[in-house]
Amino acid sequence: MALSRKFLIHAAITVVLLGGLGILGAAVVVLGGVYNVAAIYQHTRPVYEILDFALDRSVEVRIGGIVAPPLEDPLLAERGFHIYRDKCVQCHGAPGVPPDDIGKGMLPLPNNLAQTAREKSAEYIYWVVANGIRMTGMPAWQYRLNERDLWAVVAFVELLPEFSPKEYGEWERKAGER
Amino acid sequence: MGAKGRRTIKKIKALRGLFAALTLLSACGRSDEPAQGTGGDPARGRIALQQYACTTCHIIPGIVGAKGLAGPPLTGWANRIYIAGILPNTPDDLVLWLRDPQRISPGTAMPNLGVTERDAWDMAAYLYSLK
Repeated sequence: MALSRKFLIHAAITVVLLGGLGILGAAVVVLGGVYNVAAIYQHTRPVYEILDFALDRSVEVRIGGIVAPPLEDPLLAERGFHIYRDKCVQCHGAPGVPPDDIGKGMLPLPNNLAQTAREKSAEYIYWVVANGIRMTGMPAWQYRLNERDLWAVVAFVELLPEFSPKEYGEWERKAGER
Repeated sequence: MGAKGRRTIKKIKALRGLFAALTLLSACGRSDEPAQGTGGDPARGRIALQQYACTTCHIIPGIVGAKGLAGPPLTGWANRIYIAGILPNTPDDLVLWLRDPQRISPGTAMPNLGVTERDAWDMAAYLYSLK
């Protein structure tokens, strides 16, 4: 009885001391400016992997209620292409098309969306386009594009893995002629 | 490519010729040695590989977040035989490729990313450190 009480008191003191040490350590890191925020230096590997995983989970748990409309309509994808060309290609590039300097200088780097289309659902992509991702440079588009246009962008992104660089160039030329 | 770039490549070609002659003379040269000694700064090149968004499309060992699968992984680059299946993997050919992939392989999905000559040599220095 006496032993377990003594143990509890010691445990409590240990927890308080460790907590204080943690706060002190955090204060040293923050006030000392220890962590480099420069966009030319990537996070350390553990920080990057945790953030990357947390980002993915954060989106996954929030897309439950979203149901994608039919996206096969070629006119919808074409509409999406025009929006993509105006607002997305600067940072994300396209098949055979580099991102602009703004996109290249960012960290995290904007994803190659052909790969994103392979790996993620239409609902996932919709959520990211509509809501953006804080502190990554990805803007929220829901206050700039209406619902139909948001899905048009998704429809086009879903098509990206099927584009050869040559075909993408043809779409660009076609759009330029109009 | 600027005049300086052409001169650099000429100089390198001349040096390589000299090197080849020397190895022939000493008769102990090994032709299967991976390309080395680009003269670039690998630490700077490591950052440049991120700043030109190479990491978006390529897996590059030693660079955090370089998980792209749009292009081939650049693992073991020093031992790679060909660049894009077209050029022999030598430092000067790698620099040519990095600066203007569309000229070497028209229609490739790898775009011209506006890589400067210095940055290309630095990237090459990092890539040839990947054994």
